[in-house]
Parts: sequence; C-alpha cells; structure tokens
Amino acid sequence: MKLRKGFVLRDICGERVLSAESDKTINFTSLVRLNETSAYLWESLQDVDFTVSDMVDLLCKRYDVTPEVAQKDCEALASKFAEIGLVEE
Amino acid sequence: MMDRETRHYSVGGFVFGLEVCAPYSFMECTGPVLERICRAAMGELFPVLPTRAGDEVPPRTFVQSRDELPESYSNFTLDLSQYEPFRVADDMQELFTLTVKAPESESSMEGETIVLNVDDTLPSYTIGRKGETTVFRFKGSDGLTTAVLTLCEDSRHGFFAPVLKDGKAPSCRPVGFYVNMALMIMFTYNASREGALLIHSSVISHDGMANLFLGKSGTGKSTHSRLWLDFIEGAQLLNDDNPVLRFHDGSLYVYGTPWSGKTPCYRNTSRKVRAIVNLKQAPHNRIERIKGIPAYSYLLSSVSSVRWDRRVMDSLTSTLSDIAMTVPCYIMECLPDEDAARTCLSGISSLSE
Repeated sequence: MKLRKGFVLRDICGERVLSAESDKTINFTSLVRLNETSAYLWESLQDVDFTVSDMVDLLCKRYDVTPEVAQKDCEALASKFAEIGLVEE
Repeated sequence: MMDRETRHYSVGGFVFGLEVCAPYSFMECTGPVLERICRAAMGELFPVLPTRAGDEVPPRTFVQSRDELPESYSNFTLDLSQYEPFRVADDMQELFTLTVKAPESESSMEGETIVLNVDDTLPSYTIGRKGETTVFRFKGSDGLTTAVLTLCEDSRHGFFAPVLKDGKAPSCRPVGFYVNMALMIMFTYNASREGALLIHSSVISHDGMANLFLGKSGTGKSTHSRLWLDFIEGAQLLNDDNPVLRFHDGSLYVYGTPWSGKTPCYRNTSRKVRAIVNLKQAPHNRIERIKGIPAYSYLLSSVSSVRWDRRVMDSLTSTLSDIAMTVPCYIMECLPDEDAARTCLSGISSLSE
C-alpha cells in the first residue's frame, strides 16, 4: 500500500497533526491527530510502497518493542489509516 | 484625464498600492460620500446594522443613492470608496501592489495548469499556475471568465484585467467587486508572511475589546451581532465579514477592513480580541469553552482556502495554532434571541475554565 499524497504533517497546538493541503485532498476536511509512533511511521513511509511487515521493521528499529506487539499495533494502524482514507486507492 | 493613478491604503497595519490605468479611474467622491468617509476614517461609528438573511441588501460602498454619484461617472469609473477611510500617503513602503489594466480579450490558457476550482463562493474562480505566475480567472454569472488576476512569482505584484466579451467591457459594478476579491487574495498571500490573516467573521467591539463570531455562511453571525447591538449596552459593530487578525506585542488584535460583505461597515480601527465564538444554530442557548485542536479546527475552516500554497499554509497554520492556544475560544449553540446575546456575554466574561 501507499500513503495518500496531499497531506502535510504539522505541529499544531503541541500535537502532531495531518493537514489536508492540496486540490487532491480538498474534500478531506478533518484533521488527523497522530501520536509519536504513527507520526514517525507516516514520515518514514512517504513515497514508498509498503506492507505491514515494513511498518513492523520500522517500529522495532526505533522502539524497544517485541515483534508480536509491533505486529498487532501496525495491523491496527494500517487498518485505521485505510479507514480514515489516508491510503491510496 | 490621467493615464494612471496610484493610491495607497493601510489595512491591519499593512500598506498596499492600487494602480488604476486608463480607461479606468477612481471615482470622485461627492460631498455626502466624503463626509461618511471622514467619519469612518476616524474609526467612528457609522450607523450601519449587520445585514441579516432576508434584509434588503444595502449599498456596498459609501454611495447610498444614484444622485450621490459624480457627473464624471461612467462604465469605467471604479467606486472603491470603501477603501478611502484606509488611505495613506503615497510614499510609504508597500507590501504589495495591484495594477488594474484596460479590458482585454481573455488570455490563452496555454501552459497553464488548473490547480483548483473554487466554486463554493460567488463569484467562482479557477486558480492556475503558469510557470512561476499564478492566474485567477473570475467567472461571471454566465459562467465565462469576466476578469483575470495574474500574480507574479513572489505575489507582491498583481495585474488585474477585465475581459472583453464580443469586444465589450463588463459593467463596472462587477469589475469593482472582482477588484475587491483580487485585493483580498493579494492581502492573504502577502500578509500571511507577516503572521496576519483575513478571517470570515462578524465582529462586535464591547467594553474596550472585541468578540469575533464565526460560522458557516448563513449560520447567523450577522444576526448574533445584531442581537448584541440591540441588547448589550456599549456594543458596536467593527466589521461584518472579513476583518484582519494579527498579533502585536504578544496579544491578538482584530482590525476593521474595506471588506465587510453585505454590510457597509468600513471602520479604520482595531481592538484587542477578548473571545472567538463559533456559532451553531440550536433550539437553546449554551456556550462552552474549547481549546487546542478543536479550537484550531474551527479557526481553520473560517479562513480562506489557500491550502495548496505551501508557503502561505506554513505561516497561516502557525498563526492559527498560536491563536488557538492563547485566545479564549468557544462554541455557542444558540437561538436568534436576546437571551443568546446575554448568554454569550456571560460565558465569555466568566472566569471559570
């Protein structure tokens, strides 16, 4: 899967937020609040075709977490991204 | 007749130039018009009430009837009298300049990529990029391009030209309207660099400060302002559509502008902002404090869409974030009645968090 283009990751009111800022995302009116982990993954996976396994690798590289826990978290996150519309069709 | 004339105005503390070229010219202001301009220039209260849905639409400028028009009035006279209270000397450093040129045939769109089609406002317009320049094509009620604004690379210079249709120039009233839009667009691009922005809001000054009422068109911002004017002692209208917001010495100020929508409230004045209230129609009156991202989100939706310009968005989002974190913001669910104004006043005056 690939992350949808047209979003800018910003620091707003002390939080990391995805802001829809292109004509391609003009109908995306919500702001997406990201925690530190999802913000890190978002930034690392720009312009890349990735799988959940790639996400797990990134998490384990950066955080002290077991692959099993990482797998669960990444599956949930990938599914959330898709649900919100942050993944390219 | 002059070949061209340039005037300078200061809005929100920013000076900009407007150069009008032949055959167009600035309208000469007659006696009654000049008197209104003088009073507005001093920030004085001009007896004007916010226009609510269903009200008869008042004149948009300081000219209130045809017999106040000068003898020289023609189809190339631009009635920009609402800018006169903001007039400043011509030797001041300007942030940007707009040049109004003679009408011309529509320029070719070759090499131009349409970036956005803005059709949720009237007039609708397209935004295109041609190399380093940005082209705005304003559409008339016939759906055809009636005027074009071309912005140079750094946005500091803009060229505006009405479009000839069958060799004829459009009527000067819509042309004046498009000139306003062009100036607002240029103001947005340039003032954002300095941390200032235009916000879609109705503003009431009261007790030495100002309260902003936000909400989608038709939600009742003007109506709510009207309720304050009717029932809250000392309330005055500062602007009814597009004031300027800007931080100064760490505090947020709101400024009157020449852009007040359907209500001709053009006051060259400013106030520190006490509260920003987002309105929602409801069968009751209730006000609630909001903070952080929710507050930011409401602010963002009340600011004109320049979402595709990274530079502008970088400054804009930063300023809005600062506003959300430092200025008390509220959501108010309300009826269009006296109690709404009182509940609002009470809510923003309350010290409880």
